[in-house]
Amino acid sequence: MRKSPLQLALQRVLRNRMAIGGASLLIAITLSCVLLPPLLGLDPNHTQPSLRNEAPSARFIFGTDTLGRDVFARVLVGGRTSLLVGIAATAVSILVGVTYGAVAGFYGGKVDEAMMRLVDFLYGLPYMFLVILIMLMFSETARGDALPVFLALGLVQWLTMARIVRGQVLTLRHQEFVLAAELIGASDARILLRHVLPNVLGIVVVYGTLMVPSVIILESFLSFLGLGVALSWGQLVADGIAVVNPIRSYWWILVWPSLFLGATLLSLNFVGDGLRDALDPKART
Amino acid sequence: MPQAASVSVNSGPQSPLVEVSGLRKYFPVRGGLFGGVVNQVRAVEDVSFSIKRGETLGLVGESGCGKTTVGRLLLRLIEPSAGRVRFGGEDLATLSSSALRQMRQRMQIVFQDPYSSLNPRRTVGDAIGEPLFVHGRARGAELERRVTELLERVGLPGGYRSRYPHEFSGGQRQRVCIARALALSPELVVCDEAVSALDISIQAQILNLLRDLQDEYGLTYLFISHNLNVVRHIADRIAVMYLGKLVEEADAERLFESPQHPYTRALMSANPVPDPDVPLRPVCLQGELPSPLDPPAGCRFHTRCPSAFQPCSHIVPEARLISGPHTTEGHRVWCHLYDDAPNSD
Repeated sequence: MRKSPLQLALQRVLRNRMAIGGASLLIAITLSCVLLPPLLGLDPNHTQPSLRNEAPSARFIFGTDTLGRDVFARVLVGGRTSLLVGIAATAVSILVGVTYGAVAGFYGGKVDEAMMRLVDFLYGLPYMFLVILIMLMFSETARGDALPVFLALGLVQWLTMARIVRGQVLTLRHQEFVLAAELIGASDARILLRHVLPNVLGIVVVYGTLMVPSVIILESFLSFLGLGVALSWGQLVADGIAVVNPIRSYWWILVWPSLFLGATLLSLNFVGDGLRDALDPKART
Repeated sequence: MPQAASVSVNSGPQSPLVEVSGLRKYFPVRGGLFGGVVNQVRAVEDVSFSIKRGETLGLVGESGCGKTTVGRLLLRLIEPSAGRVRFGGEDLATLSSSALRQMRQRMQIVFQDPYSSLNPRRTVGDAIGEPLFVHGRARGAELERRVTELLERVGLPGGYRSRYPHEFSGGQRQRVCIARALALSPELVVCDEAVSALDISIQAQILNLLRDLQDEYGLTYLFISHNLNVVRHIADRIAVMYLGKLVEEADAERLFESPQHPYTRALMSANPVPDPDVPLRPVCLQGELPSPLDPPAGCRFHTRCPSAFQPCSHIVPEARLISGPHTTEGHRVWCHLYDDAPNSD
């Protein structure tokens, strides 16, 4: 079996220990967030007034919060939201950004000029303002749901993706193999899908991987402001910070969600770096 | 079908396959506060020539003289600023995009850089088969068979079709590009510095392959190169360009034996001849190549010409016909030294 450039790149990622470590940790965290709550019958919203602010013990391995809720259950279920928002918002931004950037770069000239000025304009607006605006467009009842959050974040994040893709397409557009395809009589759609986009894929994958953590942080920040999803790592960290005071410290309420958030962000960055190194066209081994 | 009709009208052996007249290409230079056009690169100016069926026209000149631009204008990969390209009697500029797509089956290109002219993410079989697939000429097993055939025709094992470009050497890639260009059985192939990026020994192999293919399929070549020895080896006629304009055009042998234009002479004398007994006495040109942003008035070569005289700096020379031995076709020169000779147009 012949190895395509993509398979060779995959081979290089598999040899990168940091990337593999990051990926393993990421898979472990994702699987526990998805599988453990139903398996162990964990309820993140079950309050027990008699067991408030319990330190970690055999019964509550991460302790309980100020309302007597199991922190372990809350961290796992909150992780589902954070990961989902990260991935879904990135997917939205890749979809919009790649399409937009590819069209702008491929047709160039006035089309490109007009399309990129719009991107510049949106860039100029403070993104938080945009996100809050989009969130407010959803009704009162939808607030706290995940859908408006990842739509809002995705619609802000696509700008950079569009710029990156547009730049790549602009250089690929004048590569000789694209001219050859044009001369062969291939349609614009075929040239874009078969010749241009596959060569942009690498950078999109890398940038997408690095975008997931930044979206998770954004969502956490929104939660921190009270605009995010009701139960996510960001929200849990905000709750944890609220109970930090000089008299009594319930450290477990803050530390566990922060640890999970930090580990996930770090892993994603390692994976992203590994992919970038592997897809670097100058890398040969 | 419109082109079928035109083929029958123009298929006589005497009618040229390609006729270029008054071709001009200015690239705008944008700048300033509002991105307006502040200047123009005059890449190609009033270039006219024709190529007969089955003939090889060599186009030579220094880097940046507009050779590649002429090649791309010929295929309408870029739009000319002025002038006309007629292919098989039809004006390319008037064709609709679908008619152009049909027309382009008859003209293909082989690029200089064998690395950027193949998509790194697709197998060479995909690359060679794509033209056949796109035009619906072959599908499935028939497509595979044709691809194998083409690979073997350019001297590569048919089994290589499932390999990726990164597994090939430069020369092998160039063979793949030639196979891709041949897939649609074109009439004209533009070879844009097709061997310049290759080793000398590989150059010879590729040139011989191109010649064999020409004999076999009756191909017409526009062979663009800066290497005089290569052009001499393959071309029937040679046109010399300087700073966007033609300066001389003649039969290959005739041009090498008696170059007329001072620029051609300088070019010839600077060309190394692989013979130790032939002394190299180059006519050294003074000065630098002027910028095509602001080309010299009159004859573009006058700023560096050893024989420049009074009219050169302000009157643009016209094409003159020179007669002599070996001239089956016209020997055209754009130089005031030959103002007494008859006007060619």
